[in-house]
Amino acid sequence: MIVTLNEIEQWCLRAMAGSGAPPGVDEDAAAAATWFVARDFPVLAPLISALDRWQNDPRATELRARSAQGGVHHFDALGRSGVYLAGNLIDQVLAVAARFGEPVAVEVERLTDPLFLFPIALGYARRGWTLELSWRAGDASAAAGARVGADGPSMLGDERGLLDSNPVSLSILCGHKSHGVPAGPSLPVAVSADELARRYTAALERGVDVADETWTALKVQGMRALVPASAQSRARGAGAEISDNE
Amino acid sequence: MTATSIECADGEALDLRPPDDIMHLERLGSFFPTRLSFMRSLLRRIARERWALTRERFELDDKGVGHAVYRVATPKGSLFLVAFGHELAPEERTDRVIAEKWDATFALTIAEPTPETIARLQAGVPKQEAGRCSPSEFVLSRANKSVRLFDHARDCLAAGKQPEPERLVEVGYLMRTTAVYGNGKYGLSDLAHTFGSGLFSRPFKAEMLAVYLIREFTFDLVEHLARVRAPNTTVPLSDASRCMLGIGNATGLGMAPFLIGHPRLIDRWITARETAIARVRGVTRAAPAQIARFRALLVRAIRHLEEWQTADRRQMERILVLRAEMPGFADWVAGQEGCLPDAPHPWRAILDRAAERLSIEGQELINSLILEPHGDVVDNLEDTMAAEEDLDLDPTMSIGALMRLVKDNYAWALDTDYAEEEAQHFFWYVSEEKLEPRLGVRGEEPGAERELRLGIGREVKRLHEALTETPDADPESPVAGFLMRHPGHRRTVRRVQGLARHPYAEIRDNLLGADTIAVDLLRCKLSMFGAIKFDPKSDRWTRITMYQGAPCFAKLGSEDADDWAFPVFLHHAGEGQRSPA
Repeated sequence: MIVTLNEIEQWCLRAMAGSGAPPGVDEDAAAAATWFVARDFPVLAPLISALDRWQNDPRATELRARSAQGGVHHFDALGRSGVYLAGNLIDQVLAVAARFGEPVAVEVERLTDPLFLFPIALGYARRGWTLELSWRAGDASAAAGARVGADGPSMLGDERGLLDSNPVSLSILCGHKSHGVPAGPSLPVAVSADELARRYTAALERGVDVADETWTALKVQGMRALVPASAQSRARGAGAEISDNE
Repeated sequence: MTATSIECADGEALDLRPPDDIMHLERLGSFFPTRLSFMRSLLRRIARERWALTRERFELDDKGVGHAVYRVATPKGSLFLVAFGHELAPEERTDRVIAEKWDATFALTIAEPTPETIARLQAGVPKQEAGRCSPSEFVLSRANKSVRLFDHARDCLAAGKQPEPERLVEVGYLMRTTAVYGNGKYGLSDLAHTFGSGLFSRPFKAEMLAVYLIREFTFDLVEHLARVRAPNTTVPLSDASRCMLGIGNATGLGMAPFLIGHPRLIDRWITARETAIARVRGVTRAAPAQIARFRALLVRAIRHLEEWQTADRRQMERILVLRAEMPGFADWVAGQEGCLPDAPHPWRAILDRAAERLSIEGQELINSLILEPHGDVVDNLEDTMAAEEDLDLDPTMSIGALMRLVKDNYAWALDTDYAEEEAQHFFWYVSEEKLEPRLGVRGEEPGAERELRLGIGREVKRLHEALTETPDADPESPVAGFLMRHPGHRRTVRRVQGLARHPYAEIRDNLLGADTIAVDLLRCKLSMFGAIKFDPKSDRWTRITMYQGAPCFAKLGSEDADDWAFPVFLHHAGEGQRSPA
């Protein structure tokens, strides 16, 4: 089915809200999913999978900070999904970098769907931050990642690894232009900023083709945020209680 | 009223009215359109850029069933209104959003109207929400006839005469739209794509164009059906009759959450409006002709009030207050006419008088009127009425700094005791039925557990309590730590931070409270569009009129084409009164 980016974002938002995601967390996930779908990355399936797994579970947003070792800051995602943790994790990374006033390295263990962090990171590039995310997929054969900085966003490494559904160890390098940015990408560019922009333009011009079963599954999740029509609500809506044939 | 010095985004320093005085439903729900309203600025643009309208096709049968195509040629390319006429039994005609059939359906598209395009649109547009559009379509809409007026107009034209002005003005439109969709809904062009076309750069301009073209279609349709009835005697609808006819609209709560969900855009709209008022307030001298022009407009507005009727008791009471107070104000202006041009800051004197003597709705009427003679001073503010809407969360901000933002900008939210039943009387939700936002009464209607978080005051108070009650809240610690422990406040923190420099972004009332009158939200937004003759049918929906008094497309190049604020049709033309043309 051909759908628009607005429709994708709205239904992702409803699906997140319907799954019990906290306000704000739902917005981050919906925006991230839309960013990727608009660039031809099929992230709706992992989003729906995460919603199925963490439906109304307040532990979905749990994150544990561990002590820093060797200048590297550690967090344990406890097997949670980037769908729920993206904003929180980027918050922690930026707070650490701001506190130390220098580029920092952060390791996040046991995180699934790390890709969802990237659009959140992208928002901070506007304010001078550079972030590079990289991870190695479950079978260790497909290193993947993403980088955003002054030169725009790009996807790194092996595209197969970007959507691996197994928990990964995520490495984040973060710096601000005021205190130097981390070293350049350690992985080759898989999808350049230009290609990402081209894909986005194509999505706006043609819409996005989403598999029917995926779209249906997303809407089923989203319906949980809606309220069935009632006689009372109908009686109070626009056009109610008036003749339209006058 | 104490003015607050606010530096605008472009560095202009002006004394704007304080947000605490403006951003309440009582005042927002008293707004009138201004020359910055989207309908006005769109028609000025059409005239300035010499857009051309051509009716390329009009293939409707004797019952008005078929399709018509209108081409609008602009310097940036062509747009097309494709209109489908349908046969509708009286029992099928309803303005409710749950309707499935309409008298006419429309798409505004950039696709050349080839037979393939028409066939594609024919398959989707008449179904409206149940159909699909493509990214080539900017707007999807539908309209129903105002049956009695439409039939009267058709019969009069067929008999070789014009419809009765009193009846045209009483209703104000031949058709009323019941939805005007844009921005990616039902397969339509996403806003980024619409803007990327170069044809529009601000929200709702495509929708406003579609409605204006629908108005032209209604004129053609009624003439066509008159000719069907009496081909030898039918006369065309005169310019004067056309001018009296706008497009009606039935608007419900669908647009209310928009004001909460797009706070930066609302800030830009209100800032532009308040900046315009402040600029005129700051004008040091007025030419006698400007004062005379204002006085004439005031007389016209008084007559406009006489033609504004509604069965809604609350609005009618307010209209009666306006009718009672405005003549005295006009007398005062007339008495001052000789000395105002020589007075320092003459417009300030007028506004101060209005603030002292008039109701809130009267004050806002004067605010709209003083802008009219000042196009050269205020019209460039049109360009500031779009916004980058993303709200950035700053996880590095300290808890103390966040607390200060809450206290400085949301004091209005902290005074309410949301534990009181009255304070959470309503809840907002989205209905399964065509995804319409609705307002329910908590405890009486189902769905409160799925409410939309539109009670910003309650959310901010909850944030404030969480910040205050956090035992280890070091004021210097970053917000990131707080949000790790309290992820449920993420949206509110982002909003408080992201709106810190946007003073007119928040409606400073509890939108869950029992005293909330939702129709005030609608009037605020509809006045920004340029709608007039608000006719509330309940506290949750209203009928309005759009483009009544506006020149038809062929007359947009005339010298007085922009002079259609507060249109008057039935009273004798007085001083400064333009004749409908």
